[in-house]
Order: sequence, then structure tokens, then C-alpha cells
Amino acid sequence: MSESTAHWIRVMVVFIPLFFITGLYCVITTRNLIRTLIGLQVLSKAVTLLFVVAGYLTGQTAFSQACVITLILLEAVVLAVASGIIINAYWHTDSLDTRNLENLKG
Amino acid sequence: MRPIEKEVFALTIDLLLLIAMTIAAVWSVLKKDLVKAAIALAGTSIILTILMFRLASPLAAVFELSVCAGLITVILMSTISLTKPPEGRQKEEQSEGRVQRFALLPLLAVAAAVLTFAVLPFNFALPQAVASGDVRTVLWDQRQLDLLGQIAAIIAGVFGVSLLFKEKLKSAGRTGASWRRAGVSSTMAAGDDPSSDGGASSRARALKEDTGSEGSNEGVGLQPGGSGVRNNAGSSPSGETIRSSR
Repeated sequence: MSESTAHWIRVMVVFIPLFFITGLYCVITTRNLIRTLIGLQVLSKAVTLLFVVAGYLTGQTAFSQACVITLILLEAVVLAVASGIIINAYWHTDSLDTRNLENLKG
Repeated sequence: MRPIEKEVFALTIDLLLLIAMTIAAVWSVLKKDLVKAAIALAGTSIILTILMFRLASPLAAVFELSVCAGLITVILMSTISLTKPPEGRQKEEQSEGRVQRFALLPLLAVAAAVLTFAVLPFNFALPQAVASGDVRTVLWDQRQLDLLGQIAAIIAGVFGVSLLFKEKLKSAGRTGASWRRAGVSSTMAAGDDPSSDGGASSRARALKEDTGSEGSNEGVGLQPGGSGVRNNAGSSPSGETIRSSR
């Protein structure tokens, strides 16, 4: 393994979990629906970076790029649909607070 | 510049980019103002794009730049502008305990990174690097099922976006707060059958009552003769409340 490859693995092993934890923590702790989406985006950025680095290290950049393109597209679609849901929830509950989404509670 | 120096220089640039991306990601999560958080997210995408170019994935990088930094930021911005930031008591409720909630984030992130760094072996064998084919060949010839899934996802996204704009048109000119105020203070006009139109017109009238002269500008779905209804509603002693306050 070349020095460059080993370095990349070390760097990624530190940074990718960091991005992932940041996004996941945001999704779990926040009470704002839009911020939940932002957390989800940060989370998926970590996965995208992981795909790209894995493709670079194994030399399979074509395959990893195909996966990343699919991932980016799904990311955009999820965001579009979730935005529609959030706006509808806003019209119904008049707030973006997750604690107010209690219509199905109990 | 010697080759070794060149390599160290390149790795330093990558490291700096990763640190900048981390700062942007944490900024987007922690920033109170949602617009600035969305801009920070776009910044994260741009830095990720540069990293992708450096990691020999130019096509994915172009997608990342155009979709994640462009389209997603636009969708987020339009969502933020279609909704209203919380005010007064709501804002207090939402921000209470905010610092405590996010206090564990740095600790957890560093712990996770250190743990992964400590546990993972670094001399594991990577698969032999093979000559990578063309990304277009891989995408169109080998990953056809993925493409079918993408098409299905795009159709779902189209429905999502159409829902977004449908709601916007339907409720044009009314803000969430005025909607709620109208609901809380509204009274049924005499002879108004709520089942005929789902109570929509009475809500619209109540909105007009609530907003006064501004209502003529706002209410797209207002019926003519709103002033008469307003008098009716005003004279009604204590009519039925359409929406109860939380």
C-alpha cells in the first residue's frame, strides 16, 4: 500500500464518521423540520464521500461514480418530497416544531 | 518541486479541504438562522465537489455541484421562504435547551472518530486496483436496474414538487399565523353550510374579518360580498369555532 493510500484511509476514517455523526445527531436532536432535512443532507454527504474514496482506493471510480449519481438523484427527490410534506404540515399545525405533529398520537 | 514534496502538498490541500468541509457541515447544523444554514450546506457541497475532482470522479462531481449545491439549495430556500420563522413564544419554546441538546455533538463526534481510528486495522488488504472502465458504460450497461429505480424516483419527485406548488396556489396570500388566527376567532355566518364546501369559504370570510381591509389584497379565494358576511359574523354572539386553539 502506498503512503498516499494509507494516508487517505487514515484521513477518511476520521472525517467520514465525523460527518455522519454530525448529520445523525442533528436529525435526532433538532425540533425544526427544515433542520432535520439539513441534517439528512449532511448525512448523505458523508456517504457520498465514502463512495468516492472507496472508488478511488480500489480503482473502481466508474462504478463508484455510477452509485454516487444514483445517490445524488435520490437525495434530491427525497428533499423535494419532504419539502412538500413539511409545507403541508406547516399549513396544518402552523409551526415547524416536531412536537406539534401529534395528530396520530395515542 | 520534487515528487515527494508534490505529494505532501497535495495531501495537505486535501486535508485542508476536509477540515473546511467539516466546519461548513457543523456550521450548517448549528446555525440558528435557517437561510445561513442552507448556504453553509451549499458550501459543504462545493467543497465536496472539489474533493471529488481530486479523487478522480469528475462526472459525479458535476452532478454534486449542479444538483446538491444548486437544486437542493433552491428547494431548501423556497421551503424556508414558504414557511415563516417562529416568533415570540414559539421561538422561545424551540430554542429552549438548544445549547444543551447540541452540547454532546462535539464530544460524540470526536469519540466516534477516535474509536473508529483506534479499532480499524490499517493494514487490511484492499482489492487489487483494476483498470476502471468508462463511467457511461458502467451506468448504462451494467447498472440498468439502478436507472429504472432512478426513473421511478424522479416520477415520485415530480409528484412531490407538484404537491408543493398546488398547496402554494391553493393557499396563496395567507400566512400560517393569519390562518390560525382566522380559525380561532372565526364564527359561522348565519345560513352558511359548512359541509357544502368543507368550511373553506367561511374560513376565508373569517380571514377577511380578521385582517380587515388587508384581506382584499390577500384573499384569493374570497367570495364577493365579504363585508356583509363580516357584519353577520360580528353580530353573531359566540359562534362555533372551526379550529380549536392548541
